Order: sequence, then structure tokens, then C-alpha cells
Amino acid sequence: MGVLCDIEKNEIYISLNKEFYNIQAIKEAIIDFEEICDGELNEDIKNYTLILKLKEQNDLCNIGYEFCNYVLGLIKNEYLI
Amino acid sequence: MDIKKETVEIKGDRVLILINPLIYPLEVIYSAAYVFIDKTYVLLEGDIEKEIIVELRLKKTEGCERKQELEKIGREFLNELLNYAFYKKQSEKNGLIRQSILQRALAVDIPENPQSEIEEDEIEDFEDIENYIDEVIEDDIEDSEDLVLPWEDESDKLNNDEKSCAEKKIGFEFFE
Repeated sequence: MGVLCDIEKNEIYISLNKEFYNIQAIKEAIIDFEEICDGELNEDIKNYTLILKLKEQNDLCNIGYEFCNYVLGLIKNEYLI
Repeated sequence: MDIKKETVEIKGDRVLILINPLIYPLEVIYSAAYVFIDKTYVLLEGDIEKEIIVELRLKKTEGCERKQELEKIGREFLNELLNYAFYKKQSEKNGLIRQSILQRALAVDIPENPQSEIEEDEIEDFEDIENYIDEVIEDDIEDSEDLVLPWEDESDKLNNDEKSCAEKKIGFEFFE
């Protein structure tokens, strides 16, 4: 669950529960983040799993969590309240 | 009420908020979480039918009173849940009234069949424009006909007539 960082590979691994996160929002977020990282989206039975490969050395974990917040913001905007 | 389990749990650098989805629907949880994305990192986990877990991590990691702050944030999240749940309930309750007010507001001064009226107006406009263009073209043709006339010939004729008159006059004077 959550966000894991591999500093050596400069990669972030994110696992998002399918019940709460929708794939369209994740895809949109990957597109919006493409200036700073390349995204690879996979899925298992319960989760969407993402690998974000950063283009430059940066604060890995914070970018991972910011990505999750961004996806949440996109999902929330679909609702009226 | 289940008192064995805490609703707000602090685990290391994060706070977990355990929510009953029967009390707070998912859209309310999304809205409450959205309020906190400025100051915390939010992750949603758990089972949508049994228990939803909201994980909050503070963005600012400095400060010695982090545990207290985490707990405070967790409690604030519960308040926000209540706030949005109330808002949702009220908006559902007032939904019909709001809809009827909106319909009445939008229904004022709308013609029965606006599409056809617009088309008729447009057709009239087109006819007017066509007539105008025809008039302009006719005027242009008339003007161009005037221009096409060899005005030099006429002026020459006039000059010749004037000359001959003048000569006659002169001749008459001479004879006198």
C-alpha cells in the first residue's frame, strides 16, 4: 500500500486501491506529470500499480505523494460537493 | 457504538482515520480529503463496504509536536466529514426546490419554437442582403457604363462647335 521510493533507480512505486481511485484520473495525472516523470500503469486484482521514473534527481517520495493528491483532486472534481 | 477501536490512530509519521462507509458516503470522504491536500498527503485505503481508511501525512515534517498536530489534523478531518455530510443532506433535501427555481428562472421569455424563428429571421436577413447586393451591382454597372462612354469625343465636339462659332463671330466682325 502507498508510496515506495527507489533512490538508486530514481523510481517511485505507487499502489492505489481500485475501489477509491479510478483509472481515468490516474491516466490524466500521468499525462499532467509527464514533464517530470514517465509513468507506467499496471493493475492487479485489488490495486492499480504505478511506476514513475523521474527524469531528474528530485525529492522522490514527495513527488509520489503529490501525485496521489493530484489524482484525488481529479476524482473529487467529478463530484458536485 | 464500538469503543474498542479508535477512530483516529497515529502510526509513526502518519495518522489513520477509520470511517464507516454507511455513515459517510464516498463522495463526502473525497470532499473532506480534498480540503486537506494543501497541508497533508492523503491516501485512501480499506474496504468500501466495511471500513474506509484515510491516511494523512503532514507535508511539513519539522516541529517537535508532530504527534499532537497529527491528532489534531485527524480530528479536524472528522469535523470536515460531518460538515460535508450535513451539506449533502441539505442539498438533497433542497434539491427539488432548487431545481424548480432554476427551471422557472430559465423559462422566462423563451419563445415556443425559437429554432424556427431564428431560421426565419436568418432567411429574411439573407434576402435583404441579396437584394442589397443586386442593387449595388446594378449601380456599379450604371456607373461603369458612364465611365465607358468616350468623354473625349464629346469634349472635342464641344470644342469644335465653340471654335466654329468663334470663327464665325470673328469672320462676322471682320466683314463688318
